[in-house]
Amino acid sequence: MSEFLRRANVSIITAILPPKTATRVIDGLFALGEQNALLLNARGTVVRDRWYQSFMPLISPELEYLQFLVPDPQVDQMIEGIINHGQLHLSGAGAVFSVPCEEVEYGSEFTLWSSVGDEANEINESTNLKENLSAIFCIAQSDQVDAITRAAMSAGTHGPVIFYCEGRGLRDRLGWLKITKKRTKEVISVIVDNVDRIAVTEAMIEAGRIDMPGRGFLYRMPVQKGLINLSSTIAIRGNAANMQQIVAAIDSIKGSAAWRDQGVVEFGAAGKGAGLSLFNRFKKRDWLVDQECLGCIVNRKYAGVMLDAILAAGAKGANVSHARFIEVASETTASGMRLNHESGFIRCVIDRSIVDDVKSAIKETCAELGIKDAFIFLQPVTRAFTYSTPTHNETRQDNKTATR
Amino acid sequence: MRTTPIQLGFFGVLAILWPYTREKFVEQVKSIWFIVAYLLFFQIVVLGLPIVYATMIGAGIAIVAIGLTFFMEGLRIGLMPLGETLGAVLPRNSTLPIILCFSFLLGLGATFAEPAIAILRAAGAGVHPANAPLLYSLLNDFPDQLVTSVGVGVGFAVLLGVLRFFYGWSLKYLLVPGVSLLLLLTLIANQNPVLQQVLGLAWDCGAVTTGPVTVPLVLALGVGVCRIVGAGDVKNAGFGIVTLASLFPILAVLLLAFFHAYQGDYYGEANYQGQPYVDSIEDIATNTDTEVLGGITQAEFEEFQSNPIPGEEFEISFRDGEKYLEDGRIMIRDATIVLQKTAPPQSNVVSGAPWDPATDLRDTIVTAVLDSIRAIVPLCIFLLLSLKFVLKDKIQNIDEIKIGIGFSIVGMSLFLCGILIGLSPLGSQLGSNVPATFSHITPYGMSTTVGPLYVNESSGKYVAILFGFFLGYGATLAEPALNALGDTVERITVGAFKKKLLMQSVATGVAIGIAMGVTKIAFNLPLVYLLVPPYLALIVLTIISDEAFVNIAWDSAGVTTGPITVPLVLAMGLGIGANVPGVIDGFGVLALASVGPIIVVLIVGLLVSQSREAPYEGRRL
Repeated sequence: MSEFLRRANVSIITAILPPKTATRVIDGLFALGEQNALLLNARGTVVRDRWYQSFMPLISPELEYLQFLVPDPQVDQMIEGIINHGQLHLSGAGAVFSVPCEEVEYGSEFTLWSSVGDEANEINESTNLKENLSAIFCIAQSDQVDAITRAAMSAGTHGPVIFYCEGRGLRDRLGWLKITKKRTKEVISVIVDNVDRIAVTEAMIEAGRIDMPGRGFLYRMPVQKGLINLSSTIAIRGNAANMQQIVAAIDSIKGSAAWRDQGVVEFGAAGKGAGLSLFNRFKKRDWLVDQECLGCIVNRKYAGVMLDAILAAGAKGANVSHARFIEVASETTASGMRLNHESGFIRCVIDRSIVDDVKSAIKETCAELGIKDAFIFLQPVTRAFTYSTPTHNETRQDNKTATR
Repeated sequence: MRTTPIQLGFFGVLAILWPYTREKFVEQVKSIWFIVAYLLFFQIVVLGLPIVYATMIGAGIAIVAIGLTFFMEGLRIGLMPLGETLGAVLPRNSTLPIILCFSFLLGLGATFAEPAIAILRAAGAGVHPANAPLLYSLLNDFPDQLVTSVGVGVGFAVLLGVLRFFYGWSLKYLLVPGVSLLLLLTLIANQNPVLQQVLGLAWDCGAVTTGPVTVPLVLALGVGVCRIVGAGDVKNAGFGIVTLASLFPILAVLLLAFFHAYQGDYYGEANYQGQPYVDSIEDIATNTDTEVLGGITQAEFEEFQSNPIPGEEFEISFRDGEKYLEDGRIMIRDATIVLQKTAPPQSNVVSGAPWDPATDLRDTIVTAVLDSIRAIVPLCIFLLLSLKFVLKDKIQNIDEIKIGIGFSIVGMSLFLCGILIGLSPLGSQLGSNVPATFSHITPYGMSTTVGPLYVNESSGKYVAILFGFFLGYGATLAEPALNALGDTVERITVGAFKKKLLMQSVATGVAIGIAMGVTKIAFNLPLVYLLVPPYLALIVLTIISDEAFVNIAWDSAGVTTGPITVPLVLAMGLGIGANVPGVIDGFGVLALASVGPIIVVLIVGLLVSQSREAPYEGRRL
């Protein structure tokens, strides 16, 4: 029934780049042997540095959120390629990081990697990649995004990268009334040093009131290595180095962003406790532990069915982001423009105990619908957090579904 | 199964439906409150004239708000997803010639569905053939040719727009030559006095064609196609079709005018085959001043003769005679006594009947419903059938799309009806009354005359221009198509370009454009002097701007003149034009209203690019 090939030692490399460099990087990587890329449109965050900039119109920078599926031996080479083509050593140029997968399974028609040299090639060691990073993802409604973003930046991160996703849960059970609920939510993603991860998580939860029902979901994943150089401020020309470069340099000297502690910062109505407090730092929270992030890349038109299957198998919630799937060998129009596939990039954060159930549900759906090019992957999640009532088990499940 | 529907009682449904309805309604009220408050403020406070038919106008405005609520929701959940799904499916499932053919038919059909040309004909109703023979002929003798040529223009525009996505051409390569060609033809036409009068009509045709249904559909189609074809960043995200659909009709109408001029078959020429123009009795009647100044009729005179005691309604004044001062009293010997009727006391705010006796409510509703069905249903059927034959698969979310189409039809009927009984009368009142700032007029619905409010005629005209500025600003914020564009831009850029920024920039641009248009009419300037320089500046701005902003800016021009702006602006143009000697028609304001937003959005784009280049300084790409 399952013609799925299983493989270990695959990582997912994520590159966050401005659109101009994204095409260059994709072409460069295809030349190195990568077979496909998943591309999501995202936006970055910049803040205004000076007072007079508030009078100028502000448009956040557009970014492309690229995902590459790479076998472990090739990861270093790929990251080097991305850094070179994207010139990521320059401030504000983008970010790249890799998260290893515990295991992957893919259908027979999915090409993971061309067999051009499975051995590791020589790596240029000159670029320092940071290790000990964490990636934090927070799924929230559009009106909460501003508060969460500001809190994260106050706590010491770069400008968060935000993209859209659609969740499943309460909305689909309303029948025709579902028109009343907005479908898309925003995913706020930041990559932080391990030293800062708890503070940033705390700040984001406080600012977004994630502990309230229906307010969102937050999870944190370990990152193996990466280089983060995203722009966060609108810089002024004429200085030898802008504030962001200086702060980044001091961060790397000090080893963490802890030197930037500023005391408790209140935002009034928009959010609370967004800074770092000096005493009794963090509240006791009901963290979800032993979670895994199960992801699935499938053709967009099957995304709905797949989400149903995942929820039926016991997941409390799942969401899909619409992405473009670019392949080396893609159809082109007569004029040479690539015709892309649209993919649904599905993720759900589930208990370790039901991972196998959900995976078999996905594979069964693939067999039913004749999908031969699905890609399933499993990544570890260190912490997850959402609303939970300790009393009613039944309401707890319904509410968890509602929060996605 | 997780997806079993939740059973909700009546109150459960209400609890979900009510906040949603309220939120959407309040959103629409927020977009129209400014224009309504402004029009009321200007008429009551600045001009000092009462509102006529206030109840009807109030009811009409409320209906407009409700109608817009339904219509915008219908667009959001029905029409735009339909267009986008179709666009995303076409490139894979059919060949390029079929796609182009489909695009052409869509453009052609959309023109016939929308009643925009009828609006222009209404605007041209006051054109006298002796003053503007070719213009008169185009509007009255060859209306079908006019509509067809505009339709063909829009069809080619949609075709070229879709083709552009497949070849990845930059919009600049189409715009700069296209606009230069149009400017050249305009300058050539300006040399011929007969053709010069058609310029206003031609450029206005371009501005009005893309209406509140076509724009979201065509935009969604472009977005859908670009999801599949190409690199997918903002510069090729699907904008640009609306731009072309606003430029090509201008070319088509100019060519039609050249053709008829060459053939010599317009009014007054050798080959003319239409009806001779007969000055209707109405025209003659209004031309002669039969205004009874004092207000007393023959019957009242006879009654006075039998009972020569003047009643309260008579005002007595003295003329001629010998006047002298005696004992602190003025004595007049052998004077002529003049009696006239005093004006009845009028409220300063509202006056006259609460409801216009001339409007037949049932008729209006029927017209609105039929117009709305005509605008939406054929296009939707065309799209659904194409989707069925091209996609050959179950359409996802078909139930939401059906609800959306239903909402659109209901919404559009309500809002057309509301415009007919609410905003249009308010607009015509203001249009007739605004000239009170600089000339002597009879205000709408009253029998007395009101003189110029400002002694200096020029300053009165400047006040009228200022009025036009805020009218343009307020009316644009209320336009549904612009709301749809703003939503789409925000969605495509994943929230980077906020809708509010786009709407404010476009509204400011339209305000400037309409102020220029009012200047044109008030001072009777030739259209060419006001149209050509901004377009030349625009070509330069386009060349130096970022591709992404060029796409969005030019599309926002095509979006602006819609069902709210056009009646208000035309009423104002006609009103002012009637009071300025030498003005033939009210055309040209809409064309100028389209130039403003492009310039403002491109400037915003340049400012933003300036501030964004900084993080990458020191980097050489």
